[in-house]
This record gives sequence, structure tokens and C-alpha cells, in this order.
Amino acid sequence: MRKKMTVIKRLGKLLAVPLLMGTMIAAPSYADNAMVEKGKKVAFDRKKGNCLACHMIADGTLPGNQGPALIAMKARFPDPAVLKAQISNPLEKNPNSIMPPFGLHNILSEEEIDAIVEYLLTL
Amino acid sequence: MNLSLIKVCATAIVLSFASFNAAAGDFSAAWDAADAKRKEAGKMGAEWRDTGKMLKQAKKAAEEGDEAKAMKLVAKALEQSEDAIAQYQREGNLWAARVPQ
Amino acid sequence: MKKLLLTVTAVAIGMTGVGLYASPETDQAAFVNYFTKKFPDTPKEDFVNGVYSIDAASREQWIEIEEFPPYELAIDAGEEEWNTAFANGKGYVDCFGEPGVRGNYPYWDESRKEVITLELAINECREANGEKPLKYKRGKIADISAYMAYASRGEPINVEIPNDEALAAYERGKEFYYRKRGQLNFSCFDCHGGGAGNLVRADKLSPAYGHTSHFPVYRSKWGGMGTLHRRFGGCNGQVRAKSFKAQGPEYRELEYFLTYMSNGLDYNGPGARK
Repeated sequence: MRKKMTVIKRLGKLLAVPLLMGTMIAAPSYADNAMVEKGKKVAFDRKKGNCLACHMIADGTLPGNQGPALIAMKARFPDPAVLKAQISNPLEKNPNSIMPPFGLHNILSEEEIDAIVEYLLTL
Repeated sequence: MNLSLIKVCATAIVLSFASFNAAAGDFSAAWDAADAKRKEAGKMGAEWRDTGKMLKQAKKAAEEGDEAKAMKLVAKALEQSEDAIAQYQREGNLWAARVPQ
Repeated sequence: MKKLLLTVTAVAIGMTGVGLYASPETDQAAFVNYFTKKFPDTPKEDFVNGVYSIDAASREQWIEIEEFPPYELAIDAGEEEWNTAFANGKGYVDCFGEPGVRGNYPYWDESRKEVITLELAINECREANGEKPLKYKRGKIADISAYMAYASRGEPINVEIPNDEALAAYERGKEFYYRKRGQLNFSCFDCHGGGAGNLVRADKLSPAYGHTSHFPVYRSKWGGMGTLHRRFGGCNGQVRAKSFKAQGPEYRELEYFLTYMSNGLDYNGPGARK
């Protein structure tokens, strides 16, 4: 019994590296998957981005509608820097904007905003 | 000659004590400055919700010996008050135009 | 001389911001117009029912809830408080005359030079008779206020601004309402003016017109009764602004401005809300 377990363990160790490399190769080279996942997490976190409060987002339930739906984002924001700026400080374009200035007021860190941008560009 | 030597030694001793306590002194001064800024924002009615809590947490971290965490929280709190004051000043020119005519 | 007068007047008008030049009456007319235009299907007098005046679905649920109103217990408790004498033998009736006087508040006290609200008056009645003041956000104060509100149902909202000092207080309340505040950078009007009728997740934002008429309120979220200033504090906290003291000058002047905006509507407290 013990011998079988050891064999399986050894097999696992043998296959681990090529398996891992396989998943890495399969990941898209354009967008960083880890960033996209992090961005989605921060976006949906009620204490952080809380984007669903005002925006409809695919995968999200009970979305608010104070802001525009977040769809066709790559087409609407061909330059990711513009999207980042809008999230970071929407007051630049509109000083009366009801969107919180996530960067200006340090609601989110720059890394978190970068991650959200990565996620939004997949929508 | 003897007197100036004593003076030099005394200064060296005082300075070494100062640098020994510099870390603790830095935190205290920084905390006081951040709290003063918080009160300044408060006088305008502009204080944010979490600033006071951050300063409390900073004191606690300092008491527990976590200097780095304490200073980080103090810096965060100071930034909150500065942003709140900037918000108050910015809004001074903006709020009236929102009133329905 | 005439030229000088004209120049001075022109400069004075130019110096005041657009929102400051209008009088409270024109402010209110524009406010009412803004909301009746935004919600043309809502009869004016119905705005006192908040979100239920602009959302048919939740209105159905609310009508059902009102059959066994969750604030009834508070009214009963408030009535008992009202009828219980203070240690010195006097009672609330000696301060107020009768419970149905909600319509007298808030008002500008010309000698004290401040806004007097119903809850403030309740505590001042207590203290004048040797009783300890109550906490301002929930509990007994909300019960007494609920009883008095219920006895005053149907009374018109008619806040007056008797002099320049009262006007200054009104203007301070008005500025509070339209100023963005908090880390999240919202003004009251952002949500209850421009955002009225919009959804925040699954909650519909109620319009500001008619806003203070139904307080104190049984709020399902609280699982109990609360006063207007409790709600003010909660709202400020929600936008990550440090809330002000209940019955402090800021919230009393905010109440003064906000209630004035609903002049002409009727008091309909206590209310039930989500």
C-alpha cells in the first residue's frame, strides 16, 4: 500500500513541472491572467471598487445603474491610459462627476487600479 | 581647553541619545502633525470617516513596537486629511452651480 | 451717483454665485420643478412617500407592510412616555400643550439664534423638568417623536425664515446639501437629486423632495426606529465622511433647509422604509 503511494508521489513530482509549464504556455501572452483575476476581485469587493453599486458588469448580480454599463470596454477605451485616468480621477473630465476618485482619494492603490483596468478590458 | 573638551563630549553624548531616540521622536512628531491636520480638516467640517481610526491604529502599532506599520498608518492618515482639505477647497467653487435653477 | 450705484449692484450680483443669489422661495420653486419634471407621473403630494412614490414594484410591498405598520409599537411606547409624569409631577403636555405639534418644527428661534427641532425640544422639555436628556438617534426619543408625528399627520410643512440670521442658517444648510464630502466624494444631491430613481445595487434612490416628512422612521435595515439625524449620520458615514453630532448645528441647519424644500407637502410620519 505504502509503495503505491510513493510511486504516485514520485510520478506527481515528475509531472509537476511539465504540467505547470503547460498551463503557463496555454495562458494568453497579451493579458496577464493573474492581474485580470485580481482586478475582478477588487472590482467586485464592496469595500474596494464596489463597481457593481453603479455599473452593470457581466458576471455581476443586482447591478446599479448610476453609471454606464461596462461592456465593449476595449472598443470604448482603445488607450488603457484613458480608462486608468477615468478611474483614478474622473473629476478631471467632469468636476461634478458622481464617480468616486479612486486614485486621487486613495480609495484604491495604483496597483489595484491597474488590475481593474486589465479586468475591464476583457469585458 | 578642558571646558571645550567637556562641551564637545557633552554634545556628543546628547546627540547620541537623540539619535537613539530619533525613531520614537520621529513617530511622535509625525503623529502629532497628522492629528493636527485632521483637526484642521475637522474645523472645516471636511474630515473623513476613517482618519481618526487610522491614527488610533498607528498609536497601537507603535506601542506594540511595529514602527514601520505605525509610520505607514500615520502617513496614510496625513494624506487623508490633506485630500479632505483639498476637496473642501475644490468644492468651494463648485457646489453653488449644482443648485437647480 | 447713479452710475456708482449701478456698478456696485452689478459687482454685488456678480460676486454672489448663481446658487446664492436666489431667494429661498425661488430655490424651492426650482427644487419642486426639478423633481416634478423628473418624475412626471408622481402626484406632487405623493412625494412624501419617498421611493414608493416613484417605484410601483416596491410600492406594492410597502402598502402591504403598512397594513401592520412596523412603527406601531413605537407610537404606543411614545404615547405611554407622553402620559408618564416627570419626577416633579409635570409632563410633556406642559411643554408642548398637545402631541400634535410636529408641524411647528423645525423653526428659527430669534432670541436664541438657532434652529430648534422637535427632538431638541423634547430633550429641553426633559431637562427643564429635572429629567436626564435622551440619546438622539434611537430608542425613547424616537418613540416620543413617533407618537407626536402620528398625532400630527396631515399637518402642512411650513418652515419660515423670519430674518437675515435665519436666512444665513438656511444658506448653510443648503451649502451642506450640495457640497461633495467624504472619501467617496458625494453630495446629498448627487444621490437624491441627480441620482434619484437610479439603482445602487438593488436599492432605488429616493428623491429629496418630500424627504423629511415621514420621520422618525422604522427602517428595515435598522430593524427598528430611528430619527432624521440618525439617518443623516448614516448617510455621511456611507460616503466615508465623518458624521456630525446628532442635533448639532450642522444637522439642525441641514434639517431646516431640507424641510423648507418640502414646504407645501404634508407631514406623514412616522414612516416605514426599507
